[in-house]
Amino acid sequence: MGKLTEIYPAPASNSIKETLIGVADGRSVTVSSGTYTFETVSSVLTLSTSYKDITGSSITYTPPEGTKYVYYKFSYKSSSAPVNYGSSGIHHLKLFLDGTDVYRAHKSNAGNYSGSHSNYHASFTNFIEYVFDLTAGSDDYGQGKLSGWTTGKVIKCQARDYSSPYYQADIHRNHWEDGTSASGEEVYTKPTIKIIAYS
Amino acid sequence: MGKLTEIFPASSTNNVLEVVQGTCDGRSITVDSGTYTLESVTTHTDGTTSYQKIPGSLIAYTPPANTRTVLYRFDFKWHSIGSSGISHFYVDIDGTRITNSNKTFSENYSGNHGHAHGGRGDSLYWLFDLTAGSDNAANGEFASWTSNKTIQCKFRRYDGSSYGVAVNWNRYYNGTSSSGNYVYNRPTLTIMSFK
Repeated sequence: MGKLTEIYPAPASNSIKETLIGVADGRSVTVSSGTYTFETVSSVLTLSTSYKDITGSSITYTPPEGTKYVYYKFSYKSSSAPVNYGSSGIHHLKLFLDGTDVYRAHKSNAGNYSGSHSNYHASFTNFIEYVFDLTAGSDDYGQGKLSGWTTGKVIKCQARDYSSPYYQADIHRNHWEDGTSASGEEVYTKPTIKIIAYS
Repeated sequence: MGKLTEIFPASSTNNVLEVVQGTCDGRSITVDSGTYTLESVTTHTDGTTSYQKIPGSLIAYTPPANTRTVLYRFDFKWHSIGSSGISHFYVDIDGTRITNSNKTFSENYSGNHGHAHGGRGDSLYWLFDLTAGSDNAANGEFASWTSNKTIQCKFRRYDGSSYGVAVNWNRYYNGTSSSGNYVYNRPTLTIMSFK
């Protein structure tokens, strides 16, 4: 039999109950609240002027008992679409919790406008994040407030282009790599999801 | 005297085993798995058409026992030297390029290669999976990790003429060209080990 302190270790003062983090390559990650399988991203997502799900952003999550706050962050690569009208690649993001638009998390990302819509070099890492408050008296998903969270809820992101044909963006895209046009596996990057449950 | 479970409550569900995080100024950080000294960044580095290490990004790390996932993240400043500053980056572990860590950064092209204002913070990262059945460094997958592995980020510029880039650089500061200690920006390196 081990020491009592090994069986009953001192409680951590840390307020993090669990951290779920992974690359969207189909991996499964086990934490205290269960096993979660990330989506597999294997191509670029081309946007349009209608919102569509961002591949790799969706996860059905149940926080551990006693959680007061859930932090969700989705990190992804964007690029102005490599077409004549890619321009600054303005695109808009939404975050959904169980099908409800968390409107306080809305966000737009873009590169600098060059004065010509045929210039489309804007390419960098972006993210959308939100902290859900589970201590609210009643549910208000639009503001990310919940009175509790005890079963699986789907968190996901959607995106759209600013307009058509100007200002188009691609998600997960590397247009260039190694000093030339990207090809094969280089064309896309795999996004990541990080969820932290706090007590 | 209270109940035994009140004196010795169940351990936390927290699955973070340790965090190594610091500004790359030569500091040493001691965690359960050892003491790690971060690189000291004291200047900016111009890109060439060959891949080179981003100063500050290198660390030789051994995760603690029972680690199942290792997050490596490098946050740094990026700035165009010429035109849109198209540049390429990846994470390397023990000399192997992690295929899906490839990223290309650039600002939008202005129509004039002499315009080079693009500058911002960006990040490179990978999540190493230590639960794999066998090693596949190119995918960041390992069956085990019990001794130091060297992780670093590498970068290059798109070509040798029009698209220049520098890392850890502030080109401008306080409404003018930067000078002295403001010319470079020290990056941040973060490693988290999860059970």
